[in-house]
Amino acid sequence: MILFSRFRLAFAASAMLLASSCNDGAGLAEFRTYASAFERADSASGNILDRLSVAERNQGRLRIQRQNPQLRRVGIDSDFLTANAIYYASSVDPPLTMAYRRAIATVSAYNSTLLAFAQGQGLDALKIEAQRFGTEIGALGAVVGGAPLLAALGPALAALQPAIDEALAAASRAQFREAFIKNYALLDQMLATLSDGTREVYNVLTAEGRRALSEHADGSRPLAEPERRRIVAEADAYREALSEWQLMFAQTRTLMAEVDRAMRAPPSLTRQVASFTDEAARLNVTASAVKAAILRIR
Amino acid sequence: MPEAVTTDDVRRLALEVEALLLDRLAATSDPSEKEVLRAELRKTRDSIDDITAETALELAHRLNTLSDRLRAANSAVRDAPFDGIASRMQSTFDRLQDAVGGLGATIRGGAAEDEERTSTPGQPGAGTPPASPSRPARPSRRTGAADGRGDYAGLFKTCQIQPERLRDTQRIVDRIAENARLYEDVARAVSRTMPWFVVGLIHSLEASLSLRRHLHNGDPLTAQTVQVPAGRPRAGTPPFSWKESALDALLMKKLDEVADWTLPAMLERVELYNGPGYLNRGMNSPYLWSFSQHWTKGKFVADHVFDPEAPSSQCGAAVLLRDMVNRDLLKIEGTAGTVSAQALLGHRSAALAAPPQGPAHVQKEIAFPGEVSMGSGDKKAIRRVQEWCSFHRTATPVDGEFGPGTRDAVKAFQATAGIPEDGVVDQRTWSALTTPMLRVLAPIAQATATLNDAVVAVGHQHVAEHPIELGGDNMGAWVRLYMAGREGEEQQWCAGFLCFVIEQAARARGEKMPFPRQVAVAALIADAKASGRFIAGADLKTAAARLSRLRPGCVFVIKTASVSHAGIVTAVGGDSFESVEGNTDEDGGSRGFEAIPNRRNYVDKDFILLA
Repeated sequence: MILFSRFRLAFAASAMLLASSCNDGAGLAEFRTYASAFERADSASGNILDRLSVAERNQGRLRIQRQNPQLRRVGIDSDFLTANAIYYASSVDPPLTMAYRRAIATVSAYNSTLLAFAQGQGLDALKIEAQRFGTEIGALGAVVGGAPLLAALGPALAALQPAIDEALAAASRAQFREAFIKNYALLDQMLATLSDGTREVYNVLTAEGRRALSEHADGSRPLAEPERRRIVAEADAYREALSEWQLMFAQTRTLMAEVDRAMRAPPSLTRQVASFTDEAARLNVTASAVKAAILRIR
Repeated sequence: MPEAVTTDDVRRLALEVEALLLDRLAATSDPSEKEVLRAELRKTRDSIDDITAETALELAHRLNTLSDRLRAANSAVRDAPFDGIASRMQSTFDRLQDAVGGLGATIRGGAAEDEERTSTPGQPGAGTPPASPSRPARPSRRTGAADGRGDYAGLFKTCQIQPERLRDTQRIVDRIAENARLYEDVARAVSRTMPWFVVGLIHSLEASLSLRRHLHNGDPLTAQTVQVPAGRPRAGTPPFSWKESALDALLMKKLDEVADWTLPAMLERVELYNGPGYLNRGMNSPYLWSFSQHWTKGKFVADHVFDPEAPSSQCGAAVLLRDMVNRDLLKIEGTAGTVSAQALLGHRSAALAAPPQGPAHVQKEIAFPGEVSMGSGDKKAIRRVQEWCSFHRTATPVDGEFGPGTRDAVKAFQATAGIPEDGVVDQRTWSALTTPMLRVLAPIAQATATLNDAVVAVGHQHVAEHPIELGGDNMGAWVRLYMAGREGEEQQWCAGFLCFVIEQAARARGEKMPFPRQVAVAALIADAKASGRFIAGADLKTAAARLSRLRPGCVFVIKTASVSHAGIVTAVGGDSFESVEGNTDEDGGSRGFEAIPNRRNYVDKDFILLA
């Protein structure tokens, strides 16, 4: 009977799909760990970027004044250059601060997208079609049950729906793997840039203090000793905080590399667990250290 | 080769210079040397700060570039999930649907007593139910008199979509709208009058909107139909295209012979597409009413086998129409229930199979002037292109010169029309540009009982496209359409507009224009008076007089010392009337730039009957 053989084909197709996705659990746990780690890096970034915003804006204004002889002489800048507006507007971040916040938010959003797929929540459009199809199957199943000649198809139809649900979840996880592997290099480059960029962040944060100390050293701007000590302590605290911050990004990169390795060549379970336990523990310590370092800066 | 000097190197160098200068400053006691050293230190610090700022900006740029790329990657992952593994899932669904579709076709009900499906030599011929003294003549729901269960119009009026089914219903309607071009091609091939969305309704019910299944019964296009009606299409070889299959199905059901597509007639035809089984049982058909309160359960589950408890997972055709009306995508007008689906068409261009009818100047206005692009010398053609660009709001001066501005305007239009943006007006682009005019010239979708009805329908069809002057006062393609090819400041076109509409309506009915075409309001009035068709406003002082003597489709005129204007009455009220008018504007002026619907009072108005 044609109909029975059609259903055998359909079952075979579903079974094949499920079988092909048996390995798509690899990398899921690692990705969750990496995503959580990045979340912690994200939350630790807030204080640093708030201070960077103030420092960058001040530096920008000083630079504008320095480059504008009329401003230095007269005290008022008669030109309104739109390019300089970003250093005067208090409602937006200056360029480097804005770029950091945007980059971190973009990585977080990307992680969320992949996590949704990893947890089988992606492919909404396909899910809607599957639900409609499931309703049709259910209706047919109810009808078939009442017709003796077609009664044998009832159990086959009933089994189709959960098979579709499982296949859909598997497809979503497989899509997660494909997307992660495809964009791994880009994500790694982003994290590397965030990590390496802490050097420029440090320079901006300490620029004002460094100049004050240098001017004090040449006698052109006397500094009271408490103020000098404050500037030095602030620079030290920034160094400590930014070092921890940079380490967080570096560790996140390491975790992500683990995800990539797990995706491409699933390692033994024991090694995975041990590796991740260590990394996660280190990251937790680092996050606490960043918070503490920032709190010390007055 | 020496390594390139980086910003880091420069910064490091500047810091070293600063340190050296500070050391020297501390070592010297010469005031003038100190002054020089301090000046150098200031410059060095400025350099260090400048480098800090520049490297910060460079880093910001790198981060922003990476963010843009990652955002694009994120969008690609979320918006295109059908690459890779998901596409395999999709094809699995397709195979499953083919299998279930075949089963569904078997157990779908309503095929038992269809005259086409059961007709065989020696038995009662097609078109008549099997002879039986106990079987009554097939009832009709057009009037609701036969079986007492309510007529189509009444059922439709009270139809309420089940709330839990609303989203599914709307989704189907949206998909029907997306396929409008395809359905219109098929509908035009069937007949001039078949509404394109009826093809969509049937497509939804018979094949779940799949373009891989026959419109007859949902069997795969890879072979002739297996289920009833089997062996279709008879001509051609598999695999069949969806269009050729759909055309075969609709012609098989004799839908090309249907002239009446008002709502009740439409619902009856759609129900009969599925067969008269439910009609004969005196019950509402799930083919029309599933997903509404008018049908909840009970359907044919096999030939001649009716299951009173059987549910349906398909949305009925009337329910889909109900959603279209609820969302203002479809209009049902008048007591006859004429159906207009202009809104459902959306923004896409209509693919009209038949060439527009009308006088020679109409053909000239629509005709493709030949390819127009940068460097073209045909000023007339260029002006026409510029007019249409302006109409479509990709405005450019109408000056007959195809320069960068015109090219960009064409490109902007092509972008909105989904045409490759090359700035060249080829046949395809020209067709898209002139589609609004093709729409107004298209045969009206619904049949009309009288010339007056046709005039109203055509009038609405015109103003739906919002004709306007283009390129100057009383200038442009629309003015030329209404004024037999003429344009210019002296060409007041209100009378030309209404005469064009009336002539088009008459032609649609195979009739002659009831009075000679006039372009001057005074001439309209004089001709009407001479032929006894003129009604003075002074004779219509009461609401009763207006309602009894005036009919939609007649003409109103204003002729005072300062105003000379005319339009078509589309609805008559006691104190005001509705109209469609050309050469007017929102203020009701007589020298406006557009053709629009309006509402007017009876003050200073006279009227002209069509006949």
